[in-house]
Amino acid sequence: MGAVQRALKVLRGRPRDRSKADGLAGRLKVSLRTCSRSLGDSYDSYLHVGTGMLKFSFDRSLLEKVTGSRERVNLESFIRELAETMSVDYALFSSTRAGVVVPGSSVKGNVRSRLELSFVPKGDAVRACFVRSSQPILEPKPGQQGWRHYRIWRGSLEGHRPACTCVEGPEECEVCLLCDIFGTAGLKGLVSFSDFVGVGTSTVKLDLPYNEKVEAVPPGSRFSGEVYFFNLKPEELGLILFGMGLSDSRVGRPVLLGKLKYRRDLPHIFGVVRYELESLELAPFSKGLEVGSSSIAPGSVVSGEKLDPLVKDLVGAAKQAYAEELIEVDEVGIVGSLTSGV
Amino acid sequence: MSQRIPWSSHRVRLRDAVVEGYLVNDSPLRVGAGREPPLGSAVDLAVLRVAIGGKKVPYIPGSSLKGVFRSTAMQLALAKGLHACSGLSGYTCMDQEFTEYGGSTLMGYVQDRLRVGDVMEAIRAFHEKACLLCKMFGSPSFTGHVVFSDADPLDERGEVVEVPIGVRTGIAIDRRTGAVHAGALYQVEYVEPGARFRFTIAATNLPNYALGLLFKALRMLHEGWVRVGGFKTRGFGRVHVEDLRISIWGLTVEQGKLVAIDDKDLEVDLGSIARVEEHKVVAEGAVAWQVVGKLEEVWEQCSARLKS
Repeated sequence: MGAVQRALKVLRGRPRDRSKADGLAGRLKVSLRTCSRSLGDSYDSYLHVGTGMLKFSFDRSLLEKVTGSRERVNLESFIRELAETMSVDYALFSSTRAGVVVPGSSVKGNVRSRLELSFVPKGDAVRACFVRSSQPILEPKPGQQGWRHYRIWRGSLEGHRPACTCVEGPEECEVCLLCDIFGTAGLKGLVSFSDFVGVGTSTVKLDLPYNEKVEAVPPGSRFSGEVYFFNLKPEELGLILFGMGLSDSRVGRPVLLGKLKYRRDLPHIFGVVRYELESLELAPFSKGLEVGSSSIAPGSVVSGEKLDPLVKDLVGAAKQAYAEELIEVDEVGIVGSLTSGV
Repeated sequence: MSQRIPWSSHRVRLRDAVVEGYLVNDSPLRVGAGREPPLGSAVDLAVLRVAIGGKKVPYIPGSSLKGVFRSTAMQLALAKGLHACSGLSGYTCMDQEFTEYGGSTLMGYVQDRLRVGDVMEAIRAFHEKACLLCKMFGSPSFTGHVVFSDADPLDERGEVVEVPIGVRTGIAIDRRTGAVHAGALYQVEYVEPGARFRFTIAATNLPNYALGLLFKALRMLHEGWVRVGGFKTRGFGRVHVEDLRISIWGLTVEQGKLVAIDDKDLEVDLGSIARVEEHKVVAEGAVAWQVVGKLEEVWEQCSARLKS
């Protein structure tokens, strides 16, 4: 079946004023953990978020022999041996001096792309652009690149959704809701994601088919980070939580993150994680938050069980504000139901 | 004297304030060297470096810090309903036209007055028409009253400290395929968390409310509400302040009291918390943060009056 490539109108407006504190501002403390059966999840999942760098491994003593050799015959022999022992090493997990981290850019990208894909067209208009995308494609056949992705997000992949840009300056441009919140070329975002730093987390080395080798964190690994927000409305703060898979409580549903997340033909499952909201703090310069039955004053912090109704109210406000446009997709469940080659 | 010549004039020296300390990055920090990496750089986005004592080390330019403080102060001032310009070229108070000056811009009028030697009128016009931020941080043809030094990786003895550098690879996910988006790969250098950069901010003539606004921006930086450098929305640039030291001295400092500098200002007594040396107030560490808090209160109290 081919995709219907409708021409969609991306709803755009002037970006809000960044120079004035005028709306909700604060920070969310958020944890991210890989799903684990021992913690009551349905999956044992590893996670790999790579550095993008590849390392080679080789026998260092042979290299020393090569550099120390003066005879051609020996040198040729050593080089052959060295070439045979060289291989691509394990793909490293992203880290800083603080230890293993899921970079803020990865978390931001994960939340933003989930939100972009969760907005479906209403009529011929759509609330969000695709800030990074190739041209519309026909539905890939099973086994072709991106076929699982297409099946998960089919509802939002039909139609052309050109990216917003603001390179001519915020006074001149118009952007979609998500570009206003997350930023685009020429426009600063209103939300910032810190690196999510591993909490007592260590990596393991996994050998995968086709000689692929990765460093990954095992099931139950936890990372901690912060999400800062500025000048948001309650329903937009709800959208951020929705993008992390939160809905009715401070613990989100399982969502997908990182490399190999769609693969179910490997010895291990990768990339099934849960976000959990640990606290919500409003900045002293924020407006007060009034949503549903929740009321939070500037400068105060909400944590623990009190977050459950607050999350429900905020996400509820988002669902109400963007009714019929925002779809909730069980990406983990869909991937689980798909089998390679079917 | 201060009655006749407003504090924004550089003709009078009413007080000096110096704020010193270390900016310590809690997350990766990147102050970039521009779009094109320097020759020989192995990454797409290199960090800016300066040669100190024969070593090329990353640093935070004073211009970057000034930008952070001014833009934060602007957000705070606008939130209080005050007029505050962005300071961007072409959009400053100096570029505004005034009917009472025959449609001339403020800069045109000031320069016209200076040409005919009417210095006091030039000073008066600038003080009356320019926003608080232009008076504090400067405007075209007007030197600001706050000077930001470069923040360099120096220890207490002034010696250069090695700064570990990391490299991170960035990609973007193609929304349509779920795979890596072609052409979106980049490598960015950053300063590893934990580096210490020594900074100095020197301010002259600032009324207590303006010091309070400056200190509010400093606290927001310290608490992570404001960040430094690039990639801020992707986890970079969070810093906190260590070993804060504040010294304030001059004609408007009397026995620990910072007297009100203009009719919108409020006197503040720091004598009970800070060390007082006749015309000088000195505060360090936790005490310095108390001084910051006291002056922030003055900003909060005075900001309503500044609207009128």
